[in-house]
Amino acid sequence: MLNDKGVEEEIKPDVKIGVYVCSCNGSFEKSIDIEPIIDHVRNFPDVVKVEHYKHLCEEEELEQIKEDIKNEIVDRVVVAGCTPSTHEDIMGNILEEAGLNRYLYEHANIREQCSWVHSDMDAATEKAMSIIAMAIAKSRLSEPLIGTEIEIKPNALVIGGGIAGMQVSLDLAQNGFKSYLVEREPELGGRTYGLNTTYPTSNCGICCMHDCKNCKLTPKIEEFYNNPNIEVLTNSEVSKIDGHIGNYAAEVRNKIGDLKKLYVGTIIISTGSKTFDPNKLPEYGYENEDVVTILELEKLHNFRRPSDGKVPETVNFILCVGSRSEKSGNPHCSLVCCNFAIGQAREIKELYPNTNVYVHYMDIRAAYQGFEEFYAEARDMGINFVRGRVAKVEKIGDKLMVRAKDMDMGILLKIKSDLVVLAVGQEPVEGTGQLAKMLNQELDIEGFIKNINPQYRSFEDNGIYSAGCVLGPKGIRHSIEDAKNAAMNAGNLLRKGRIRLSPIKSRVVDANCDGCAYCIDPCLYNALTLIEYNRSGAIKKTVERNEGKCRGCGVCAATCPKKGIYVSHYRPEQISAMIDAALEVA
Amino acid sequence: MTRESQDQSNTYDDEVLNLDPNFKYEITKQTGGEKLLRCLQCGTCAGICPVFEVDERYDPQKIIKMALNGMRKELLSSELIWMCSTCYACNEYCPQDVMVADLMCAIQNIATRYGYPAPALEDKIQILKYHARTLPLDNFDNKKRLKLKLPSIEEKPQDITQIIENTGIERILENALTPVTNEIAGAVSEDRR
Repeated sequence: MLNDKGVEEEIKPDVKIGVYVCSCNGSFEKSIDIEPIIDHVRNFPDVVKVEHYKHLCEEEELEQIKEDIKNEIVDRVVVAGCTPSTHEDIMGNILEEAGLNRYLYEHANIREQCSWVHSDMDAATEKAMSIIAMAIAKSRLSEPLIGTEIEIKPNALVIGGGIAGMQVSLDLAQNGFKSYLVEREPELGGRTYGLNTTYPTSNCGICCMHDCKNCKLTPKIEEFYNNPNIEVLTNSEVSKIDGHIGNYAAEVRNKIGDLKKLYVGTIIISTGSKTFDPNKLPEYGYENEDVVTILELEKLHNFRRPSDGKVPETVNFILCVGSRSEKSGNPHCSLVCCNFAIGQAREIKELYPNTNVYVHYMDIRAAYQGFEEFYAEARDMGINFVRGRVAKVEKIGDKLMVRAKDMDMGILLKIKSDLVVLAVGQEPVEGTGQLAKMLNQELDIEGFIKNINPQYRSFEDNGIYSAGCVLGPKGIRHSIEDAKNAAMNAGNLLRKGRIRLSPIKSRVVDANCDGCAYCIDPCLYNALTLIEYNRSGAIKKTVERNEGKCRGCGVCAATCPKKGIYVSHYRPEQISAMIDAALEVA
Repeated sequence: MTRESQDQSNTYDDEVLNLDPNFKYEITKQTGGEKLLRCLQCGTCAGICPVFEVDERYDPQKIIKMALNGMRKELLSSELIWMCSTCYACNEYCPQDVMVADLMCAIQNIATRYGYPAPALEDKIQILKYHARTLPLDNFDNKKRLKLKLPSIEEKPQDITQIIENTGIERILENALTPVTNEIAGAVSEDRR
């Protein structure tokens, strides 16, 4: 172990390790032979107890571990079984309940990393032994750790003032927390602000049936500008964010160039998505005036043809434009377009009962509550639903020819149409990538912010939450649900006032660090800075680590050639011991 | 049975239709057929197909569906698979990049291997091999050329003959497996696993 002077000290641990092997309800026994492992591990030095359980997740068996700790039979715990990403925290809590520091616990994953992926029983058993031996070797050198407590600033930065961002700010305000709502456009409301009607409820995007751009009486907008807890910054963009959970410093620049510095405890990303640009699919003839998107149809006066203002005799709706297509880069379903297009088809049919309305679909996704009924009613109204994706839209004279296969009939349809409506899907908006990079958020394969399974999210690492379409396409209802969820999580964090950081952080050994600064660039979280100080009359260079920013990833320790920086809980001697253990068994 | 163990999701009455659930995997292993399983059955290929426009019996979407269903015998013995004009419009328009024209080629290759070659394929190969043309030259052609004061031409098929031999197509046709029956389909699937 490196002491403060950076000198290697021989440590002879006096520990009592308990190894508990769980076979996940017997599911490992098909590919791993548990008994020889138990016998083998029993002979390891410092291992005082080895036990095999069928389901360690059950209360009774966990109680047994607690009893062993309380009776001072063991003071280090190794569990071999499932994955630490779901169960490490839970086991840590068990240790704490029994009065032991949670970092004296080691998890050996013999499920995802062994039994589930191997079929050769002998080899898998040997590998499981190695994995457990490594965990024991690491556990022998582990030490109790405790994280630093930091303060949480009681306010939030909400990036993106669409329906999701507005709901987050409102909910936070209702709970007494101040939020700054930053919006790139001059108006709040995002895409919903321009919508006349949403379906199947036939409410307007924000409230009424009129042109919303000039309306200042809608309840949400009104609530907004009068709320002392909400500061709206329109025409502005976040240009820089620095800091860590509980204490972020953000620079917000508006269109005129004014800079505003905000200090906040948490950040909510709600920058939304954008609609697909149909110019990317030339076969749909979007350059024609009479081919419009569902959002443009909204703005057409009484659904008349844009080219000559006549009432259309035939209207064709094309669903899944830019969705469910590997070629346009959007394999996802955009969720709202079926709903929205059917609603518009119904309105046209109500206004002009003699107009022939076709809806070309691959599958109708009637997933919202009340929507299947809405769709069934549309069929009753005489709207023709044709299964089959439209292949091409061509201009013939002043009409448009829609060419599609009717899959139920097995024939080719060529429908002369006055108006073609493209139900465009959603895709990631420009800037999502940069923002995600600035905030160290992961993106999914399509470029939306990665949605973390909320079932397993238990530890706050950065105090950043996302809501709405930035996580993937969704409708107003789901965006608001998302927003309420994010506001609740953020509110819970702000309410705590103080939190304890994870103690798994890098530590600089000043005696070994000569300030070569190799570690500074590789650090993904900008947690390291080079400093100079006066040490007995001479200038000493060294590296300083920001505890809040550091996530304990270990890149710095791997880069350092001089043992000048290491990560607690993953100290170099622990890693060496693990490697030795792995090589010994093999 | 391998068929049952590999694909239990198939709920068709496969005793009546002789469905082979491994047929789709056989196609995906064939060059050109790799992306078969991506198909969403949207019908775009049929919608743009110029052959479908004039003859609705040739329906690429239906052919893909037959392949997915495992209608091995019905599909391979069908003359419809040879009606593709290889215009590649379906490749261009398919939203899922299934590469339908290449897929047709893959199915045609499998059909040929199992004793269902294209109609008159053997004759066509012979003409191409020994005349290096799809239409053989005869005196009539050279007489016409003479009238137009063009030099007469003669067939020089040696290179092409060699190429055709190298492709091995004749051997494939000679050694074609007996037309698919249910037993053979099962045996092949077994073998491929």
